[in-house]
Amino acid sequence: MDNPAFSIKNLELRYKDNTVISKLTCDIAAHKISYIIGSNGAGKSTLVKTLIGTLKPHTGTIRIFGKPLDSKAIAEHVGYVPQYSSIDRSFPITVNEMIALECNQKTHCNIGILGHLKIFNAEKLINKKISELSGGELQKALIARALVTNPEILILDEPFNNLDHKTEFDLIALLKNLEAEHGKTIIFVTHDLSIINLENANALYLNHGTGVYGQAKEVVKEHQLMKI
Amino acid sequence: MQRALIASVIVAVLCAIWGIFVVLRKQAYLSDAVAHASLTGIAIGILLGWSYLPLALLAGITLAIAITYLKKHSNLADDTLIGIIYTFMFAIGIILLSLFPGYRPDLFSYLFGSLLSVTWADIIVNIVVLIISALIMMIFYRKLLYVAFDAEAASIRGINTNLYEYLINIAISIATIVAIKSVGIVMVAALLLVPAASAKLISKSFKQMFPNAIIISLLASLIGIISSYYLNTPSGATIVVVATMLFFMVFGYSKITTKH
Repeated sequence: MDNPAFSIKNLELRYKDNTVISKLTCDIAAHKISYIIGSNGAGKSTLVKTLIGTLKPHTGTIRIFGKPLDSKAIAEHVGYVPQYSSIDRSFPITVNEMIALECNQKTHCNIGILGHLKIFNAEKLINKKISELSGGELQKALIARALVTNPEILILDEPFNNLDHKTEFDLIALLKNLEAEHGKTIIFVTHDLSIINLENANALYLNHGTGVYGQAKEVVKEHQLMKI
Repeated sequence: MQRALIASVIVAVLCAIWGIFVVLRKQAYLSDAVAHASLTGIAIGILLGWSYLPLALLAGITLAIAITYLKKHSNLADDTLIGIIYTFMFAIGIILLSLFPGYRPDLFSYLFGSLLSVTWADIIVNIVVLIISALIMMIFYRKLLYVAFDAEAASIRGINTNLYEYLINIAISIATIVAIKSVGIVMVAALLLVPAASAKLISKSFKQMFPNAIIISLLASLIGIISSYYLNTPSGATIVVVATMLFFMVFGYSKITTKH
């Protein structure tokens, strides 16, 4: 059996002196889509910031594909798509420049940034400034940026905030394809259960500082989350 | 006049390069604060009869390091921290100067700039700082850009964002201090802000911001200094006025081209 993408043991997370998550233990499966769900303030973003290394656990351990979670392992295995509202869209940078920032090794960007964007049907965006992109186009460009180093894990933090339904649908299809065709582990934070596809997916439900991980259908049914 | 022109060209390029980071990182307040905080170093230099530059640099770099450190270790906003530290350092400078009352013409030149008093030693320092800045930019271009644009994503790629944030803030401080002799403490922030802000309006990429900011900065400095010579006006103030006029011209141009 594969190593889990993330193996979390007795994790306690604090944000600004408040305990956000206490005693979380779970294995996040590799090569699957796993949703991190829960209401506002449940600790979803805090957990994500810990998985990408910008916050340190107060106590407990996290392993990534069996190795300790450190900056080298994160750089090797993880691609991250932030909430697109966190990107300064007035910054005068083109999609080409933005994606090239990730190519820090010769092996990265072997197929070229244009070739990479073609995978996402987004080659026409290459010379556009990010201020000229629609929300969906920017989100696509951010996903392309996160995948340019070919990471095994893609983490997305509320990727569909403020996007229209058609764009959401397109991006969900894109993520499904990444999982099914390319075997990526996709970890996807959302507070909006109406947009997620429960089939063949797992979910980590965060509530009152603790979490339950399992098949998305079961987790949602057990906790009657669709009623929320 | 020859030295003034050479100094203004070097300072224009230097301020354009680091001004880009001031504008893009929304740190307009930082260069103004560094300039004001440098008064402590300048005051000590005047009182001891030493060169102002090493002491002003020490004061400016201390401020940059203190602000970067406190930003990472407190939950206070940038502008709050900057406001606290630079007013403290400016106040110390004023107290030190008050210990030796009387008219200080040299102090006046630091406050409002005096390009015509630039020495060859000043020019050599400016050239050294410019060369080091250009080298830093060439070697660390990708990392500096990544940290300025998206520090969180940069840290995931293993970039030591703390280190580069210190580097950017210290470099901004040094560029500010070096430019004080041209336009003075009161207006030096404009030399970092205005050309870079103008360039941002018309640049189609980050890379394009550099030539655009440098050209606008050079135009402002050269037109400003030549105008000040013929109009018999203060050089620093004239450079700032020209730079601001160029900004509004670029703003108008960007609005017209965006409509079409």
